[in-house]
Amino acid sequence: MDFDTLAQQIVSGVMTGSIYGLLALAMVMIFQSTSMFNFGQGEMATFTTFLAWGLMLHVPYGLGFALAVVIAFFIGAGLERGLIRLVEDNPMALIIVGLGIFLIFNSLGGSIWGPEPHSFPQPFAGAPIKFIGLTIGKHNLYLFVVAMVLTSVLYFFFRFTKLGLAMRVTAANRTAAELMGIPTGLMLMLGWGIAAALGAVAGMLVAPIVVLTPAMMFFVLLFSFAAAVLGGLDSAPGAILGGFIVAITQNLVGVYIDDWVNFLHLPFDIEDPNQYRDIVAIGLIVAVLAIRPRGLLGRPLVQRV
Amino acid sequence: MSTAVRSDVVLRLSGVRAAYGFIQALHGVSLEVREGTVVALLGANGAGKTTTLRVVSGLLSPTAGAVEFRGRNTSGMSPSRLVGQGIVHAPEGRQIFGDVTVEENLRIGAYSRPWRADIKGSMEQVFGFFPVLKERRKQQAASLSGGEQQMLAIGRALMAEPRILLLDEPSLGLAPLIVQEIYRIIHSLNREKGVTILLVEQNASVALDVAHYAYVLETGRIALSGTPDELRGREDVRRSYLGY
Repeated sequence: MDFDTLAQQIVSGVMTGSIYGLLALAMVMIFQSTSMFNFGQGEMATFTTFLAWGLMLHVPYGLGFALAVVIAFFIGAGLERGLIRLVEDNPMALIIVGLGIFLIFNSLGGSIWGPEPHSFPQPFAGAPIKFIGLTIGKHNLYLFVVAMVLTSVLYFFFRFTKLGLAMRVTAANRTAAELMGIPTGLMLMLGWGIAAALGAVAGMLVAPIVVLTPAMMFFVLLFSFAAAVLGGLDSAPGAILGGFIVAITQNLVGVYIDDWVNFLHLPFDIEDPNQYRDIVAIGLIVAVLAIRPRGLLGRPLVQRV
Repeated sequence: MSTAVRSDVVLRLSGVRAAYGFIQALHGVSLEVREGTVVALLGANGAGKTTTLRVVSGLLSPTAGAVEFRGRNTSGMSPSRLVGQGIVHAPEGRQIFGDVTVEENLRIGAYSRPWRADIKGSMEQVFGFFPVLKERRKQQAASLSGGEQQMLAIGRALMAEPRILLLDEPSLGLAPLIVQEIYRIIHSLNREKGVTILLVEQNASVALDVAHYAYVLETGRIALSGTPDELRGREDVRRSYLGY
């Protein structure tokens, strides 16, 4: 095991992980405020990524990116207003609505843009950067920077602004928030809008890597969901941390599983390490949750009343 | 009652009925709260005390009757609008925001106030009444003791600069000494700061000590009302609510 390979896998894991983190953050926001898993989060992201792709045929990357984020925000806010609000008191209905959002955006995307893959523009192409023995693709660096800037902006927004605080307390205790004079319906709408916008960013950043297809977010969503659960469903920092851990684990398993199997003298050969990376990654998460059900940074399940 | 006195009334409920689904909780409640007074709403569990407060603060719409606040009919208005008008409700069970700090709880209490309002000044005032909150201002609210959480709930409500403060069961689940402490502060809030208070309380004897006037609710109706002395003078009240 040489150090350079290890460092390389960790660094590229951090970069992929930042995408998982963004989408996991979106899911945590929805889970906190609405107590549901929005399984459609990834498909909404794919849908807006397609819109961005269409826009970018006519306008520069930056403008297309910004427009797609704005559109995503309104789609998210509109869903809360038009759909979620009707069923928000019924947990069963919320599960179905989550699946419904998945199906609607999945088939809508499929029927408009078809199943064939498209290449999504990347603003920084060209030869990867070499840096103290590491090779870093320019796009990977770019997506990492965007993800981290976005996360920091959100952190400051939720931590230090009046509106951010109002959104947090609305998610925590809606009736009490209402009694503070907070228009809680508007706060939930904003939350859905921001989550959808986060998803759109994740989609547009990941599209050049996985190529743009209606199904491109399926695995991204799966691992983001794993990241959110691993970090703790009520913890935003947990979502980001979970994203890093999931992606790094995947990378390490992909590279080293062969060595590990040989080292342990297991009675089988690894033909394609990549087939195992996801299994082992998810397996590890299950193991962590068995020991610590609330996730790494989640609050204890028992609360003082 | 002369018109001059009548104009003093900040809050008037007339014939208010309210229900949770098909279950009728209030069967025509009428009461008045005058400016600068503490009015206590007493009664057993399930008598409709909390429901009455929920109607006043807009969490529940009355099915009949009227709620009048400073001469305007407010029935059916949303809580967030009513807070802006000065009806501030510190709900039962405190309902503080546990995972943010004490200071953030107080700041969010002032949410309805204008952008440039003197939030710092109000916070200092609250700290004047509840010095322990100042010591704990950077702590997560969930880490406070029950009594401190009740203080925070009242302090948070004060941050909205209430014209009428609705307090629901501030003694709930607290040790007798802490209850005394809380009521000493409620007393000074009214007598020193002039805050008008509508107080719901199961612990009738502490409530009567601080109130100017009291109503007794029984199964969704006002059964009787009077000054604390009048109520203490009645044997049925003593037996049912005061325990002597």
